[in-house]
Amino acid sequence: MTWTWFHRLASPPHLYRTAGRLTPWFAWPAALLIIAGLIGGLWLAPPDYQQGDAYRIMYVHAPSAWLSLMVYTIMAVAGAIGLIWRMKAAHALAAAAAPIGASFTLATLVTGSLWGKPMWGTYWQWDPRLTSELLLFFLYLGYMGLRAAFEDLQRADRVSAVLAVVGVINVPIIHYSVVWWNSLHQGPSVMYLGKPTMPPSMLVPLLLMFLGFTLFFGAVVLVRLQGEVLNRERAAHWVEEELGA
Amino acid sequence: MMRFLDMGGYYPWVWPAYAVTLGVMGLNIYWAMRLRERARRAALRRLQTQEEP
Repeated sequence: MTWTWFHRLASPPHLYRTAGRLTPWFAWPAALLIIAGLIGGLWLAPPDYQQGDAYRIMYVHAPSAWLSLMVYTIMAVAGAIGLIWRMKAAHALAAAAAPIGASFTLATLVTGSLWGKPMWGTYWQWDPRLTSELLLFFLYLGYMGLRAAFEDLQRADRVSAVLAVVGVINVPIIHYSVVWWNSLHQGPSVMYLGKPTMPPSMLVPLLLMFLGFTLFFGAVVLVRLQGEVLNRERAAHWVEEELGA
Repeated sequence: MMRFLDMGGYYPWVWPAYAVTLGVMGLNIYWAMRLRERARRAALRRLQTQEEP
């Protein structure tokens, strides 16, 4: 297997142009999938026999939660790559991803609270799943705060990458918290012992939303990555050619 | 239509959850575009000041 594509991504002009070219390929399918998922989740899927229509919050809550975990894992992997191979592009990717992950973690907490009130009778409970997700939100805030605290970009990259790598231990804790401890939060509903625990009429819109949210993240992070690369490389010759100045 | 909006009586929780999520998505699009645009403008400004004698 050739790793040329990976090494080429380390080149800022190549990364900037590739990000620009790829953005529409993520954005348009994301929009279509999310619209289809919303129609399926809000109109076509039947009410749940126990939760009634309140379960429809799942179609925005679960994909937001998925993004909150996936984005932090990407940041940790990118941070590790940046630390090991001193690849600036990897640090730029982690920095571009952090605000997206933080905002979707906040969305997860808020939509979870809104789902919790009618189902559990409370907006908040110091439950393992909820508490570990809140900790993830603080890790995102810590990562962004740490980056902002250093004027030296290379130092900010290194220190924040260490936090991302150390903090990733929280990701499996969040995922398995409902299995390891007694939790108010329901267990895994999409995959349980290899078989989905919900009928296709409910499952298909959820899968569309998962894929749509993932592609949405791809589109937004690529735009942010272009901004990050430009901020880091504004004195480079290729920027002059690229911006046609 | 009213039955749909009522969400089986759960409308005070269902619609705000969707509003928050779609709001977060909208803000992410806006922040990303703003970051890229500001970076472009800053790079252009720097290039213009380099050209001035």
